[in-house]
Amino acid sequence: MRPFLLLVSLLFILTTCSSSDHRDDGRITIEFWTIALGDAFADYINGMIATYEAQHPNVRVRWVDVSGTEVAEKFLASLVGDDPPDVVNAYDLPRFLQYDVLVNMDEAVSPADQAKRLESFWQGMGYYQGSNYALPWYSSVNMMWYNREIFSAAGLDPDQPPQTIDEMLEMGRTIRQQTGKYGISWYLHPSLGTPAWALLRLDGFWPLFDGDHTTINSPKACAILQKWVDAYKDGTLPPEALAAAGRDNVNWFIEGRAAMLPFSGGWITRYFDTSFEAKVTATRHPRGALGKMPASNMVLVVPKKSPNVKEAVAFGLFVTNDVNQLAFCRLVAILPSTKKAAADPYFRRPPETIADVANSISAADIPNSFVQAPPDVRGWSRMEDILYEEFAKAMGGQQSIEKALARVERKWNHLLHYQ
Amino acid sequence: MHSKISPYLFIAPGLLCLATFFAYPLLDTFWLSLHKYNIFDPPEFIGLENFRRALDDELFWRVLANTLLYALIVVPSLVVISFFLALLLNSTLTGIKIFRTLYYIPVVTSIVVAGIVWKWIYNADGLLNALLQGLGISGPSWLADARGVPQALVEFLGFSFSSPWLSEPAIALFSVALVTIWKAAPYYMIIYLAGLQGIPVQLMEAARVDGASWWQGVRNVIIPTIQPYTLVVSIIATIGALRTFGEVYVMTGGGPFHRTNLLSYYIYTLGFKYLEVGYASAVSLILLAIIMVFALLNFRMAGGDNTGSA
Repeated sequence: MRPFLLLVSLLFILTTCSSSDHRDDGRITIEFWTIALGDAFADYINGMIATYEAQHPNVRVRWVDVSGTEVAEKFLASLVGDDPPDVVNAYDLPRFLQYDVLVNMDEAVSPADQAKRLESFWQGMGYYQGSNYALPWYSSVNMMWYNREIFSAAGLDPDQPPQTIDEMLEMGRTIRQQTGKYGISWYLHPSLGTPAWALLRLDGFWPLFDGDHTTINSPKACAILQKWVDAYKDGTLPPEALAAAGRDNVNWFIEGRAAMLPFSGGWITRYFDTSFEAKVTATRHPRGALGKMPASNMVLVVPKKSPNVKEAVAFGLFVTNDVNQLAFCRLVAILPSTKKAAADPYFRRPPETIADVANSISAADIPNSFVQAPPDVRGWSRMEDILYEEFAKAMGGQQSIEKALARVERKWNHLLHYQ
Repeated sequence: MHSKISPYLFIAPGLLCLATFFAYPLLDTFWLSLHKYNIFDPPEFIGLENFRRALDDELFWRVLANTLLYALIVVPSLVVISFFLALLLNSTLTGIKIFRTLYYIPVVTSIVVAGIVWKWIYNADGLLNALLQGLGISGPSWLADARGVPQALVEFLGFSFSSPWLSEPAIALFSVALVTIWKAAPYYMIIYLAGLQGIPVQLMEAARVDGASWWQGVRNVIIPTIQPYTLVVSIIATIGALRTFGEVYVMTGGGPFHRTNLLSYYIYTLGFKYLEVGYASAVSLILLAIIMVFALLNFRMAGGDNTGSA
């Protein structure tokens, strides 16, 4: 009797632990992963899903919210385990793009639907070697906060914030010299802020590769990066600008230790108290030689191994359509990636708070933004670390920027050959 | 018949677990180390190329040196500090159990929580530097400073010369090692405490009657008596130090300039970030070999008997 009971128990455990049936009760189940939207946006996501399910009675959507630090690893594990979700708000895309595991959206999405998306976002985070593998979702365009009190203390006109990167670095240096505070709260670590390759892109040095070799070892790239090395050495940037510590840049600014904070919008005002709010102003992000503002973009991808590619792409297009993106933007200070939503009067409404001011500055710069996407070469994750290491050594005074770029060139070309 | 099978049945669950979670992954790691494999494409057999690549990999040697240096800082410190902590807590004071519990808290604290708290302490504008500021000392950025500790001391004393001999260990590596020591010392303290409580009271009393001071008693009675415990502590601490991952993952990400990049973290980066699974497997096996060498050395020093019979 006992062996029989054991067998029944084992069978029960095995059947209950087996993966969910994607075609349960004749309905297709789509698994939809988001990043850290949690309880705050549960009503919005569930409402959107309910609408979609009502319009598509053959589809059921299962929503899974994953934390930002885990999503890339979990997605990777699901792909390896041959049980991927169907629609994923993916992060760290270069890891996946190079192995051809995602659905090509240039092929899966009709030209009419593609035309509804802003071109810079369509050819943004998911763009890899001539094709787009992602559906652009919500986005942010950088603006800048600055502390008027520190500007005045440094002898700068608080009504004349910097317009260009060079002016920002120069003013930052003056602030450091005159007040002892950091000029700019800026991150250079690849995992957080604007790493060396993004500095080059911001100043118009792009692309970094020409066929089977890199072009990074050039006098122009040296000159661009040398500005940042100087800024780091003279204390314009905090020493931790090179470290991987999330949110420190916000803290340095809020605690009055740094004068300028390039940022993604107005949501940080929730950390401002009334007295601090009186000291700060929002302005446009300083422009580099490229003349455009850096933007970041959340995207949805569909794994090729999804058993419901067609339905998954359709659901992804629904989540990222004009109506749903605009509704999302009304809930939180984010920006849309579709043309019609971006042109909505909502983004030109008279600001009521300084957070609104910041958001309206970001929104006005949507057409003048570029998505801060890395180069589309195989093995980029490793190449990015190499660039960071050599650049950081130059910043730390261990080598010249010329030597750093020569070493990057040698190592990158070796890796290109190895791939 | 039953009596012959019974012992095997008893050890079968354990063997099954060992085979599933140790033997199979080990064999699979060995198999993967002979292949070029990125998870998505089929593995490509390349023989010992991954091991040869490690020999040519500048970063591998840097990381290996960091790991050995790290063990060199952590293991002796743990042996000494945990021993003296145990001596301190091996008394009959009222409420000593509360102290023992309090001292044990770092061991049961998640490394993620501990790492985040220590990051705040180590920040350039953090608690540690605020305390040093009170003493008139301008502290470095503890987790971002790549200078060597000896070099920083030389500069602190007002000298301006620098030398490659002064460049190790980096301040950042030393700072990470301190967190490991803080977190692990109470665990080893408990092992020592068990050893100390096994020493007959008469031994120390006899030494005292013979005129030995407290320190002479510790040096000539306690330390020789608990030697087997010291060997156990050094073996476990060495293996633990060589496998350190959490502190690096949470606090530094291997930076600055790979000065805190340790083998376990490097393997993780190779496997999960760069998806160079074959190469990561080869480096894992090299780490395994290093750990086995150190474990064997310790075991030989213990005379093959580290059963802790005090």
